[in-house]
Amino acid sequence: MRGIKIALLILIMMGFAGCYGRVPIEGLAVLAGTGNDLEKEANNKFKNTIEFFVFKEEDKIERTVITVNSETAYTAYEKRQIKMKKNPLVGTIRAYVIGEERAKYGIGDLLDTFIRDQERNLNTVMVVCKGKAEDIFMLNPVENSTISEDIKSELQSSINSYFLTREMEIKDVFNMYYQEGRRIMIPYIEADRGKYVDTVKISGIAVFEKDKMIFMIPIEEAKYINLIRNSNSKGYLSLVNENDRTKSTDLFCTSKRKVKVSMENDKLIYDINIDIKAENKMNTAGSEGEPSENNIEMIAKKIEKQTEDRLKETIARVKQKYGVDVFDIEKYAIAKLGRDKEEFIKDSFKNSIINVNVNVKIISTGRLQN
Amino acid sequence: MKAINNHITKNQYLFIIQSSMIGVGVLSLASEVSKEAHQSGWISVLIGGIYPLTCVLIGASIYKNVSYLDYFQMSKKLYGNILTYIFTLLFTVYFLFTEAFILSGFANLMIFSITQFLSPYVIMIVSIIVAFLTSRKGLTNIGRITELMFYVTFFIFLIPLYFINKGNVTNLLPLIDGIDNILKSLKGALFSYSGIEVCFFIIPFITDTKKIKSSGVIGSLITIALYTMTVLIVVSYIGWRFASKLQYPILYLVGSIELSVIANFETIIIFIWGNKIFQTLSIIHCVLSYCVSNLFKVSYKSSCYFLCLPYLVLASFFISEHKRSSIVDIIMPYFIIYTIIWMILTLLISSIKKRGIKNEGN
Repeated sequence: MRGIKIALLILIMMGFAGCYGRVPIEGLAVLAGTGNDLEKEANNKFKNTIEFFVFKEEDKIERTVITVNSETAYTAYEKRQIKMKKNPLVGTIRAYVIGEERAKYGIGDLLDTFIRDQERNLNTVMVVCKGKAEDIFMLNPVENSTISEDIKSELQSSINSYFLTREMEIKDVFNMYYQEGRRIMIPYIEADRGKYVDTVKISGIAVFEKDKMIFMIPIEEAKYINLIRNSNSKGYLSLVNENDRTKSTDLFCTSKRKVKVSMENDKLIYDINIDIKAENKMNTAGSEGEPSENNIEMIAKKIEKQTEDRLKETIARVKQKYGVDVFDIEKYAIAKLGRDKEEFIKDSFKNSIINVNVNVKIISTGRLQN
Repeated sequence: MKAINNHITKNQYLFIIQSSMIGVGVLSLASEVSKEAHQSGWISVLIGGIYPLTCVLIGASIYKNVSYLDYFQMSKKLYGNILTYIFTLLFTVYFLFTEAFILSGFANLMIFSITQFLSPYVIMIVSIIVAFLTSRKGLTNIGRITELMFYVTFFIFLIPLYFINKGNVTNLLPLIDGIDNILKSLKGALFSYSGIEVCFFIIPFITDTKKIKSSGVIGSLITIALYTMTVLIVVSYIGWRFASKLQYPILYLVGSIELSVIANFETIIIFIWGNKIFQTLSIIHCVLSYCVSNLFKVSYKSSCYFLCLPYLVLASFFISEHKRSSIVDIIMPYFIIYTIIWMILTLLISSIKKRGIKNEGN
């Protein structure tokens, strides 16, 4: 009797579990990405674009884009809902694309929305795009079924080049936004209309101050900034022979950085130590007669020298041109000096001394000896 | 009908102590302490751990002095009838509030996370039924369940360990930036340890009286370690500023990892933790019923039964998390101060009257 009672009770409780209040899968619009723009002409109104899947027949998946104007992040939701035939599923979003003007206007409201909503996935990517986000969604993707998937997979595969960061998901953006001495730096993409295929490409890095974008660093310049900024990042360093380009050297490098902070006469000193482990991928620059061990060491020394020079050049240029910390090193200063010095550390970035030291170690030369 | 069996072994006492504190606190603790103590919140959690340790140590000493009489006999010997009545009534109100806070906190979390479609009252009623059924047969039953559930706690340990190398040490530095900040946040840390006061009522039921102190200390240390570790990991991963803004930092943390089959740990952690909550509720419900049955001279079972209603009503005032936490902030300090005063006073009086009581026993 007691067993029956308990079984009955458990059965009743099971009745409370389920998917009540949820829309069945046929009534759902599976969102792939959203775009946010600013309409400067229309009194700084927002423009919200969504891209979602349309399942037609079996094995036939298409996509659609809807754009609406709005005052706030969620009035767009409301306005869109009287146009759409299905309920949007926000948990499946792959990419948030933000137009450049919107990013410069501020994205605090968007960040709040993305954190607050329990349904939203924390593993989506967030990028700033050149021009309007709407135009990005107008492209015609070929490799994936949606542009948003294109963007996400592109970012994920980009971590082996230009020393780009692995921290590109929205949770990392939240961390950059809230942690002390850091600033949001996310990929900057632009449409690449090819002859046959439309696609997007990473063309730089967008740098934010609090929640407002302040400038963009082009990707060629960003390479050395990335090398300083990102620990455990990957990319190629080369010795180029201008006279005969067949006689060059390419190294595939994995970097590791360590930062030490000290104070001297009210001046902050950052000592950045970058350890690079390199694989020799191509080397035709070596001279014939020398023994192989010397050759490898010589290459390492040359790359070391070249990289160090370029990094010093980059640091000097960043200080002069941008004047803000894009190396993500102020957090070490705050960890050392305390939270109340945050203002001082930010102000004194231009006057601080940044020393950089590069160590290159070649760990593999492949099938060849040098 | 069988009589209520209240005897527990010293291991079961350890597990009861360990799980009487795991309330809603563990999920929101990181946010609570980082508001004031910033990156050194874990230090205040560690310092706050002195409170449960003191409680179990003093509790063991008190009962050693009175040669393990049960709570009411002990209290009547030391304070007389009227004061016993007042003190027990205060404890009763305290446990009533604690239970209501845990219950409403649980309901708030459930409607926030995995059962948005249910009314909070449904969740509360179901939890009360579970707590009632568990505690109806007395402390022995609860001891057995906690013994079983203790091993489940290790999963709550294991899941944060997944994040241990993902954090950044710079988020925890400088270690201390102001002692007064740490002291201010001690308040929030102490609330998460409330519930430990049940030890004053259950110590006399332990059959083996030799190692009560060490069992209590180990039980508290496990919970203190769990709390400190979760706060450390949360703050090292997301930083104190973000942690203080979130409602349930741990759920954010476990939600941020993408796993292939189960999507993320969020549902698992709520499932395990929910079981712990049921257990915490039953422990407090049991002690509460014990107090009430002795205060108003009714049987344990009927007080267990009738108590369900008042704290359901009480808990329904605390629906929505911001309301609950603001009320906790107002009420809790008084109860904690009361507990501290009571235990020091009782320790003093019991050690003074020690000899007399021992002689009587002989």
